Amino acid sequence: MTDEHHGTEPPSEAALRIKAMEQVLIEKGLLEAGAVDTIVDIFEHQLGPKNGARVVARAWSDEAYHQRLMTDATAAILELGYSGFDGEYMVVCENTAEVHNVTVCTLCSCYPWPTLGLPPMWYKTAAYRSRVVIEPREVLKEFGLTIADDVEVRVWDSNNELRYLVLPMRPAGTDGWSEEQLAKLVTRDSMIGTGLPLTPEQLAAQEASA
Amino acid sequence: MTDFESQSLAEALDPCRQGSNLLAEGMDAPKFGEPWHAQVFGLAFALSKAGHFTRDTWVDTFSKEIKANPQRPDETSEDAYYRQWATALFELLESLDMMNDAEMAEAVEAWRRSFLHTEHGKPIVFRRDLPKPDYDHVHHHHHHAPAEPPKPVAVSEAI
Repeated sequence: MTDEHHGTEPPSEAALRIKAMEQVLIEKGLLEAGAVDTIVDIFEHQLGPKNGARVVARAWSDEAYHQRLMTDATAAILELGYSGFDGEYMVVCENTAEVHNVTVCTLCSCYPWPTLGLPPMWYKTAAYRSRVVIEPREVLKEFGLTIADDVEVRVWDSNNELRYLVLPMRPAGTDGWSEEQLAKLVTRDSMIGTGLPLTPEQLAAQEASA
Repeated sequence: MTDFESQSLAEALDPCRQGSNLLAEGMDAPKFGEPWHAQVFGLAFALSKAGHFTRDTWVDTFSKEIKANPQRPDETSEDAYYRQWATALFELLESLDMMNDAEMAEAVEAWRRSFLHTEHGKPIVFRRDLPKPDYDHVHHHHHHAPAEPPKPVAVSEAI
């Protein structure tokens, strides 16, 4: 029995263990106080698919940037102010009429944090990590994405040094669109390869219902 | 035993909520489900950034733990992921002589007491000098029941 007038109910054992780790490491001088909060804040507020969408929209509207992105993605992404924590290299895989790219981390959950933020839960499941390599077309169908038989599906396995970002094809009907407009079409899944960018019609419908 | 590697993605995400559209997470980056998920995630990054281990070592340790202790039938994939992350991180700290089991147990108990000794709503200040709470005495002004050990209760919402 606990009495709500006294004391604070401790969080779960799992939560207490994490607090304990941080506490002990700070006491030993191995970790700076506040270092964890800083990183969490960056992940919660600064990193996310909006960064990747800017990269994609720039590549769609600026051919010189597109070239730099394909030659040295890490540097081109840094031009927009996005970089990793530990100097992992970014590689951009470009979708074409012949090739559809999909990214995965078969070992754990390596992900292009600077451009996409935290990975979605499904990205970390054993099912996605193993099945997307074995039967990518079937997995894509679970996302509602059917890739035509004459289009090759290429799966890229991220690791601790290399992170992949998919550059989707620019949707039709977007001639003359500004970079800001284009960025609104870019979805997170389209940069992982499990989705496509929105069409102008889908965007209009989404904005109408919002 | 469930073969997690052959499941559909919706099943893998949550064995209890099969069929619902779990893949539609929206356009935004997912948020952390519980505060400790954020803390343990940030802790590994902060320590590798501070140079205590390389990302290489981290990926190696974490992927071994994922393989050794996969998702259990009673867990969501998110529960499993952060359990694996936390276990891998502590194992790595132990192997690097940065922290051991005894230090963990002491600090966990000190945190628990710090919570129990703080009036609800007040900020929790970590203290190592708190006595073992006499739950019967602390929580009840009149003795009417035998003392019961405290039961840890998660205060955060399950996702």
